[in-house]
Amino acid sequence: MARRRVIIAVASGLLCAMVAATPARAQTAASARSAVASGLGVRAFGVFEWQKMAASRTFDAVTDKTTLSGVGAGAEVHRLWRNVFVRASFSQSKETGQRVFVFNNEVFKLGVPVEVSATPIELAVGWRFTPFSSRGIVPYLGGGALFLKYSETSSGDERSDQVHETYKGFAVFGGLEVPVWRHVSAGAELGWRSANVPEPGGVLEAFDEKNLGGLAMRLMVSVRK
Amino acid sequence: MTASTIRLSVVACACALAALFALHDGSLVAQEPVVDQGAVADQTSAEAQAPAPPQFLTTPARLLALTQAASQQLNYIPGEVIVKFRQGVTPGQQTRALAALRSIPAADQLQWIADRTARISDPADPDSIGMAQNLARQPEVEYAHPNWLLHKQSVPNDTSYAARQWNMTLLDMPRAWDINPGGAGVTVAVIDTGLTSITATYPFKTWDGTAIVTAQMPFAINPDFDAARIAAGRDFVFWNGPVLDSDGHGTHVSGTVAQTTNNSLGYAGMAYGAKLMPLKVCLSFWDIQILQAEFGITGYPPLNAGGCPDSDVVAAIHYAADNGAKVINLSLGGTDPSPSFRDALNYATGRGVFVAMSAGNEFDDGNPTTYPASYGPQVAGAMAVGAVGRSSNRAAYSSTGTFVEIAAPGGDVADGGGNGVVWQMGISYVDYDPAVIIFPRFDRYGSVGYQGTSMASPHVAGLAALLMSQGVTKPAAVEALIAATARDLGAKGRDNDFGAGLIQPRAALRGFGVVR
Repeated sequence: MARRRVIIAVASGLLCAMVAATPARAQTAASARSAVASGLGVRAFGVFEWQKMAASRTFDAVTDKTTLSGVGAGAEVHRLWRNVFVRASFSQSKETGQRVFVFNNEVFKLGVPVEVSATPIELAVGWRFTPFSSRGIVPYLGGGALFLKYSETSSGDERSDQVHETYKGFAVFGGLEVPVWRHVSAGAELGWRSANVPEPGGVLEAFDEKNLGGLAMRLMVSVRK
Repeated sequence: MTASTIRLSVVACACALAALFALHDGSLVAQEPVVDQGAVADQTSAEAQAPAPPQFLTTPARLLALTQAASQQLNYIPGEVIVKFRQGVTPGQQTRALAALRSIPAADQLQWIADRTARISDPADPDSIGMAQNLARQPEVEYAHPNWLLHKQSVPNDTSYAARQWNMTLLDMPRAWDINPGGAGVTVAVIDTGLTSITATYPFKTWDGTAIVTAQMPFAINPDFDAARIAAGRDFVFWNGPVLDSDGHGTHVSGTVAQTTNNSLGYAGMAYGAKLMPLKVCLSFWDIQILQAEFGITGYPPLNAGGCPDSDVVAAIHYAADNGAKVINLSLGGTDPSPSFRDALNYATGRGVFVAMSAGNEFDDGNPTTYPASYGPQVAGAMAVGAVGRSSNRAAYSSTGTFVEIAAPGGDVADGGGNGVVWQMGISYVDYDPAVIIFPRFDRYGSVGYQGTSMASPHVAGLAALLMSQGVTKPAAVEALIAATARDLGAKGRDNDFGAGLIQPRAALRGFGVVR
């Protein structure tokens, strides 16, 4: 239910941006040219992101945090057809905490250090809208498949104790980008990731949570060619 | 003189004593007590200089009742009941209820052992069951039952086998200790036959086959037990002096809980950094023998004399909970329900104390429901522990039923022979074997093997101490964690043989991460 609300909120925001972007006549010809050029284009980008975890109680119990931060990178191919683009991206977040036992919603910390690492890999398709300001602000929306590589290790672990899994799911996102200098743009993006653990154990099970995704906010810098 | 010659001599002496005992046995009650006047005189002159010696806690009347219980195979102390009055009952109303008893004891004659719960002794009426029924019918009474005699739930085994702690290997303890080395900071109360907490020699009276004599009986602290980790204990049944184990059961159980480890000596214990609080509630053969002689009663008591009175176990549980213990081990049991036990367990867990209880060794004896283990499922934070042998199969003797909550190594000679029992550093049995020894000593230690759910329970108590030390401080959470991390054995899921399965200390200590 919460996830649905987030998706609706993201979509609504981006819809508003689209509507606002529609009056192309408000733009200058130069900025429009710079924002939407013709022909295939490629861009690479770097990302700094925060993800508010859907399994917030679980992560709060283990890491004392409900948000994971990380860095990543990706690439897009533009104008495959009209304003359609495809994207491949990844990011990596790591956090340390300690293993716990949850009983009747009470968390007992056991002092055994644990490091969790999440690497979401997204393969997505999106639509880039017409710039809606003279500064060439471009809104976009997209969505696609998510492969979440997840690991969980503790000191003294044997291989069989460790968790190294890849969970499948989906991701939707939308954002705005602004040209800042020649081929360089900056952007902000909001997205939702869903990657359910099929048979949750550990603290996820204790809190009846299973989604290792969540609400992601990203700051991006891209270079296009 | 060869060892076999010595052994033959000992056996011959034992036979002679057995014959003497047989001669005296029938007249034990009828005879006038014979008092060893010389020994009394010696003691009197010594008392003039020394501080007051400890007082024996068992009265002659109670001692007689205990020996009657042994000789008549009774599972209660004749003439004793435990009664709990309803909330709000005044002393006057208590007196009215007590009028149902033959001796009509006054309310101030009750020995209170817990909230609204008292032990009543009526030597004039040995029918404890009838007494309890009469009392239970009174409107002021919540419940009443005989003062049941619990028994140790283990079987001593040959002590000459080399030590092999397969139990610790089975539980992967070395890797568990990597996570928590020994459970420091936690006190475990072992409610049992005691753990000797002093090295001293006592001049106790005993029967030498012909007369009551004073014998020097040496006791010593287990050399494989760091004396600094023995917390102040208490003797509830023998005397008000230091806790002494003249049976060996309590020492063995304590060893499994917390024997000193990594000291190049003897054996390892589960929670070797924890403190041990020895609470003696069981009278052994030698306790009875000494008390009997001290009271001037001649002869030997039956070899099965002794036991652990319900009332003293309840009092010890309260004592442990009120004096800093965080874990209690109860390797005791009987087949009679005792609501006072259930109340005591609730009291202990309510004060943050986890309780491990042996599930019973009566599978081959009709597999009756055993107590207090059967209260385990009703009390969050108290667990009934069944036993497995070295192959992780249910030990042949281990009682089964819906009350079995968890399993741990208890040993099984049918599964590995002598190497299949649980070994600890214990009191050398050949020094006090009541069947052959006249003047026992309790100061020499060696490898001692036992099997029983008595041996399984302290594994769980030790694990609970490790978990408490690791940060799981609520008894109900300790129970849930032990069950959640157990290795499922037998039928899938919980079953009546193993409960949730075999404890996995390392998994329990590791707890859980996000997904596993």
